[in-house]
Amino acid sequence: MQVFDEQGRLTLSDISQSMKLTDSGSVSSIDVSNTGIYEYDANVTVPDSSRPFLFCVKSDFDKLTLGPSNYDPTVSGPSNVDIKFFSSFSGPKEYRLYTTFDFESYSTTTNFGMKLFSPDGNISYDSRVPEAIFEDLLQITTSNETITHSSISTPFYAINLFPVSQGLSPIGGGRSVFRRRGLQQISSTEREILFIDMLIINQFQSQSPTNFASNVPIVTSLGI
Amino acid sequence: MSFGIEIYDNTNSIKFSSENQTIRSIFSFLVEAESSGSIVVSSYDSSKGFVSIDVAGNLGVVIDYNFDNSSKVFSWNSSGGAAIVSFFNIE
Repeated sequence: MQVFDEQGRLTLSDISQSMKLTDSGSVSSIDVSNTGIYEYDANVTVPDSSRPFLFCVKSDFDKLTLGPSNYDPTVSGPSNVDIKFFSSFSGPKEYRLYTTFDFESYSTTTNFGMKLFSPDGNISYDSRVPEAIFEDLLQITTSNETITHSSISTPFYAINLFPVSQGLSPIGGGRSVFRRRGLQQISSTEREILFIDMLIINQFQSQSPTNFASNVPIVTSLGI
Repeated sequence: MSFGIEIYDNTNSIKFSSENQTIRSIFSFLVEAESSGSIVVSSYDSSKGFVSIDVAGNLGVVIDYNFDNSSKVFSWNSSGGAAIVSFFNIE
């Protein structure tokens, strides 16, 4: 079944799967670097490479970037992983994990609502579970720049889709700073793509980052 | 709203509105490290969606890619680690 609106846009579909809220919560920082960047680990279960997921982190007007994790997409089936991210904000960070409806079973507290099934019998949509609603897209190029978009008061960025790159820059005194590409909300309509000073090391090293492009959606849900 | 569908739960909280844009998963696959190639993704429409790169646990990803919406061919050149490429339509 597919339902279209008056402009011909698809609104409900049993073919193109929407994405359900699978996990949410907040995590506290577990470490801080000598540049004041806080480390967070969120333990979640994610699918393999055949099914996408969105790991979204709420903006606190902080500098935000992804870290390395034990997530191996070549492993078949679900994986319990620690998704690591870094922030200039020291307080608890809220996160939301979205997966396709056919990833793992779920429970709800009511039988009231509507379910759609795909032709192979899997659930494509279930109104009892919050789905991922698109708010806007950060189209991140290879340049570091300010991106303007629609006004969003509490954005959740799909940080696992951020095009991370990193490098080392000498800062004098035989020291270098390790920098990683990330983003920062600077107003309700502006995000800055920037390199974040992650760690100062007592070695004189230089390594230029190689940027690549990707798209990071800003995601919300109804009723949460 | 004068057109569309809204779904409410039994506490009158809205659970679905056709006025919202939904993120729909079209296709997802693994690009191996240091690889290049192409693949046809027929159900993806770049005029109403986006492609994203998930670096997974590997921050050494460097990938150039292109999608031709007329031929539906996605081509890539990866000079770094493996990554997941995902196609989403917004509708």
